[in-house]
Formats: sequence, structure tokens, C-alpha cells
Amino acid sequence: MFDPEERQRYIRQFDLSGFGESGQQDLKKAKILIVGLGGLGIPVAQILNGMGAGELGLLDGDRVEVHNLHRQSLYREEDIGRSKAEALKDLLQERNSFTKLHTFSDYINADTALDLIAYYDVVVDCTDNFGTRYLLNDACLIKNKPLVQAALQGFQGQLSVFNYQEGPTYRCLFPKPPRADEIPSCDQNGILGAMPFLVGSAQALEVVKVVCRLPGILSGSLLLIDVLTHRQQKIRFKLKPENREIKELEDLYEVPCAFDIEVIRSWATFFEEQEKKSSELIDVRESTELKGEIASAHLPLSQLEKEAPSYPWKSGTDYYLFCRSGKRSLEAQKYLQNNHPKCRFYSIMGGVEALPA
Amino acid sequence: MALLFFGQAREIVGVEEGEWSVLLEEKENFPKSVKELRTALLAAFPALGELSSLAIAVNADYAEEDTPLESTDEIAIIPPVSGG
Repeated sequence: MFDPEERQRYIRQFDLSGFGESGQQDLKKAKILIVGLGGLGIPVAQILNGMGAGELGLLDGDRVEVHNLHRQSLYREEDIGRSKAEALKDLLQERNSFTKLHTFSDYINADTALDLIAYYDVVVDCTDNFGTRYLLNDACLIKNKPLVQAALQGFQGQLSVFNYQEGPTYRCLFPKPPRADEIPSCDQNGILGAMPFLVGSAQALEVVKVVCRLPGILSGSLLLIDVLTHRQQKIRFKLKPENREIKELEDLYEVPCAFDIEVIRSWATFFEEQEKKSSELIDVRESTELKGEIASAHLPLSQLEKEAPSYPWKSGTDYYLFCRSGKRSLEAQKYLQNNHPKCRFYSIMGGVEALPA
Repeated sequence: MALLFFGQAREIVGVEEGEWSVLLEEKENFPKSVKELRTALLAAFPALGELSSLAIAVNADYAEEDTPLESTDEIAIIPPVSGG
């Protein structure tokens, strides 16, 4: 199974008692999907790539940004603006040409999740939001895949393995997703560069334990890590059988985060505000969807990168973006606010479907 | 009774960084179950009520509302964490 070059490369793992050639073989056969290529995803991908994982799926819709580099330090300054998945693929391939790497430069969602994870043996949750965490939990249950999840806040981390051999799930610990404004993210609260390496390394190790069937897998155990005291504690939790009853995904997992809430406004607010200050409405639906129900400017989301630079933006004007349901307009809001900081952009909650009659 | 606060609960309660646990003062109306503890915590820190999912573990075991408490127990208050 291993050619001489591989044997030489992994000799220290071949020699390791409790791992050895059989462990290396399990690793080589493994197909691992890493969701989220940020703070946690980087050490997880780097470690698994180095150790000899057979296939890695790299999934993230983000592009590398300058404020990522302090903790996602495998990315280079020249990678800024590139798709994280594509940039990481190149960086990993340079370091291990044996690994088969697949890239997905989009966010995972309820439409794509089941198909995406079906191919893989284990899913690694390195995401930064509850919506995706609950989506992955449910999708892994439906497709019967173990889910290795880590999460960070401040100087603390949490790590666990869900749905391992029909074991407990994320919902057995936290039954319902928190509302978006309850728990701040790294974007709001900040994070120290060393943190994700520590927790992400432990997470990569759990993946290896699952794939190679090593003892001590954190199934039914939540590991709490506090790096200031260097104390760790394992909380044991049991399966609540009703949490395994999930047969299909929910329609909506993306609970807007607190940051989003500031940029999400209702139609009523728009009608009120446009009396007071310069405000314009922009439809971001695709041309094929328009039935002429609202007279407004039109910038379809799919054409945003192409058409937005030449749009006659007016400094100090508030732009209200809408689509059918409020999801795509939020995506457009993020893009436009980043690229046109002199204007204010808002996404209209509920989109056309919420338009008062 | 030692209380360990994690994640956002630590932010709300204001445990000093580096401090691992805080001791609940012995009182006559000492909480006798997880449910009573939850009520007492919410009274002392109303912002904890904002957390819709708040796991409580007693002596490192995930606890249900009717789990009884002893004064020697070590209790962990664990909200979910999302950062990555």
C-alpha cells in the first residue's frame, strides 16, 4: 500500500507503538471533509495533510483577509483576496504531494450539505457560526457520519466528537441553536493567535483517533479547555434518543449573527428612514425573477462583482438591498459594505415576501 | 459548592481571567437541585437568562433539571461556543 517514499516519509508514525503501519493505512484510506478554513481549519488541515490523510475536502466560502493572518498563519500576505479553499489547497499540496485535495469555495448550506458530506468518512466542524454547526450536526446524523467539532471563545475552547457509532449528538448537549445575539463570535470578541492552534491540534488528533479507531475518542465527552489556567475538564453526556430521530434538514439554519442584526432592517424602517435621509432601494434578485412589482435600481447578486464598481454610488446615501427572502440581500450587503465603505448598506428582512401589502 | 463558568457565562458573571472557579456562599436556602440552582443563578445574574441553551454539569456529568445537588459538588455552567 505504501511506496518506499511514503514509508520513509511516515517512518516515525510506522514506528509508533499504538499506531504503526495499520494506523497509517487507516489514515491513507480516510476521506475527511474540513468545513471552515479559518483559525481551527488551518491547523486541522495542516496536521492531517502532514500526517498522511488520504483525501481532504477543503470547504469555505471566505476569501483570505488581512485580519485572518495573525492566527491563520499558513496563509501568506500574497493570498489576501484569494479563496481560502483554493489558497489552502496550493499550500497543502506543496507540503505533501500524496494528499488528494478537493476544494469547495462556497459556504455549505441546507441545499448542498447532504450531497457534500456523503462522499466523506468524517466531517470536521471548524466553522464560526451556530447555523452551520447545527446544520452539520443534522446532516451528519442523516448521512451517518461522525462529526468532530471544536469551538473557541476568548481563552477557552470546547471539543467533542458527535454521532460516533450512533453516539450522542450536538443537540444532546445544546438542544437548540442560540439566538444570534446571545453569543459573540471571534469577529466581535477578538481571539488570540495561539488559541486555534492549541484547540485545532487537539481536534485534528480526535479526527485521527476516529479514522484509525484509536482509544479515548471524545464521544459522549465534551472537553473544556482553559488556556490561562491550563486546566481541562471532560464533561460526560448521554445520548438523548429523540435527537437521533432527525430525518431531514431544516429549511433555515442561518440565524443572523449580532453583527448582521445591525444591518438587517424591516420594510417599515426603510419607509420611515427614507423620509429623513437620502435612501435608495436596490433589488438584488436575478433578472429572470423580476415581475416588475417594485420600481427600484437592479443589481443582481450574481453580477455584483462585475456591475457594482461602475454603479453611481453616492457618498452618505443609505442603500437598502432586497431579494425574495432576505438571504441574498444579506450576502450582497456584506460584499457592498466591504467594497464601498462611504455608503451604508442595509439588507431588508424577509425580502419581497415580507413586503407589506 | 464550586461553580465553574465557561464561555459567555464567564463574561456575564465576570469571573476574573485565570480564575478557575468561584465558590457559592453557604446559605440556608442552598439550591437542592439543578433547577433551583438555575433559578438562583438567574436571580443573581439576569443576563444568563438571555442564553437559551445553557448546559449544567454536576461533578463532570451533564445534569438534568431534577439532578440533586450536594454542597460539595463541582458545577460547570456551559453555554455553547461558536468561534472558529
